[in-house]
Amino acid sequence: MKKNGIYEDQITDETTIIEEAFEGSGDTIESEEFDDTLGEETEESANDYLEVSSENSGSDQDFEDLETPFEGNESGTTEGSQTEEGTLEKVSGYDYSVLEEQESEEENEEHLLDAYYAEFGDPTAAMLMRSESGKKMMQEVVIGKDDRKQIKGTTQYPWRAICSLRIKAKDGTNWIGTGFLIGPRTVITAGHVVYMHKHGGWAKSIEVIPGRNGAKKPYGSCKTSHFHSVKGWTKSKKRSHDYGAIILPKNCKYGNKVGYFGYGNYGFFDLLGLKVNLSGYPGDKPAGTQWWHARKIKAVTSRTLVYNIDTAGGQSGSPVWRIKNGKRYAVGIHTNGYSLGNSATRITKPVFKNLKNWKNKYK
Amino acid sequence: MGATIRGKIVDQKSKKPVKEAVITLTITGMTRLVDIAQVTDDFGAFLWKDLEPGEYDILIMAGGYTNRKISILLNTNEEQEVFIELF
Repeated sequence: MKKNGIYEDQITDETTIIEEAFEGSGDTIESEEFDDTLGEETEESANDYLEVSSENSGSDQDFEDLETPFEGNESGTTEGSQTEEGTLEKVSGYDYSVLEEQESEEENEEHLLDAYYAEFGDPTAAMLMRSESGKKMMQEVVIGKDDRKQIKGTTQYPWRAICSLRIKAKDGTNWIGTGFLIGPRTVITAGHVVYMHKHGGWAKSIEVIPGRNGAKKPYGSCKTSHFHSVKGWTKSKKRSHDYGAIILPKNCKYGNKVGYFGYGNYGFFDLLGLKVNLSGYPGDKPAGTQWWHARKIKAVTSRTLVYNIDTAGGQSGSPVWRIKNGKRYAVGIHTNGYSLGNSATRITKPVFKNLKNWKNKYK
Repeated sequence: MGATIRGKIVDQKSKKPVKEAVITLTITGMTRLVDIAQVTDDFGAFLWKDLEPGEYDILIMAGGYTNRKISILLNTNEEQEVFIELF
């Protein structure tokens, strides 16, 4: 429900809990704070967050420790230094002024956001958007030009902690996606990358290629069949639970070399309007090239983030991140393209806990 | 259950299958689509299940070929076969 421009059912701002990225020498630990937006989970929805694994291993849950972002042991300067705004990477050739212009665009898009929120509980508004007038309204939306920027220095942090994925589904089909390291052996991605309901369930195997740049694989690649997700995705196929993890073999601790992202559970007011980065491996660009884009988060629901960052098939699993105090924190996991705005699974408290568990369990 | 696209991609001249072609889908209107892409197998084939009904643009990119985009309309639970030549 919207009131004075604010969606009431999303309101609870508050504190954040942060897992830090690892940059080699940077091991500052931020204070641990929680956003209790989802503290009142029903038993059914809480079960949706129960982790499941392709290997049926038992869950050894320990949520007590903090994690640390790490840039890796590779030498080299960090290309992705902060911009003046603080939360974005500095990528040459990108017109950062469009982020300010976005505000006026968003005023015109307010009715579209109503439709987006309608998907989460208001059937009347949803029906309106499916009517002829609603469709006409949709067609009049100008998305704007594609101003994604190619990342050519993929051997520098944080770009090298982003991985091109080659997925072999159980039914023999082949797919491409994106993932990002959050620990030595843990790569986070979309749930539909590791578990494809209509293509055999758990993927047969996934090849992980950090920092890929076209045909170049600067750190080689590793193949694995060890995955995690949650019941809300594998059993119930809920969009809000579309996330998972790829566990690299013990002899493939890429995170120690290339570094990894931190991640954080932030409140509604921290996220709405936050300028965020997204970088991944889209299928509509030359094969294996990494592309970055940035925009403000234009809508926040209890479990998703919505933005006008340009994406394409192949970018599922890309990190949506901010810079804070010089460190990179993922706030979402990109999953969907949509005319009302592309979207990510939000790193809520339960998502945060599962990520932390998957990171700590496999070091 | 969802709709299905079953496709094959070949070289226009030789009629040989094009493997490693990347397929991306976009859909017009109010349908959310997962942002994943498919790659053709050794036989130039691809299979995309569980799609919502709607009007899709299929973009095909393969090394050494001109990009190709085609549009198809998928009805509920329909299975469509597409044969695409690249040059």
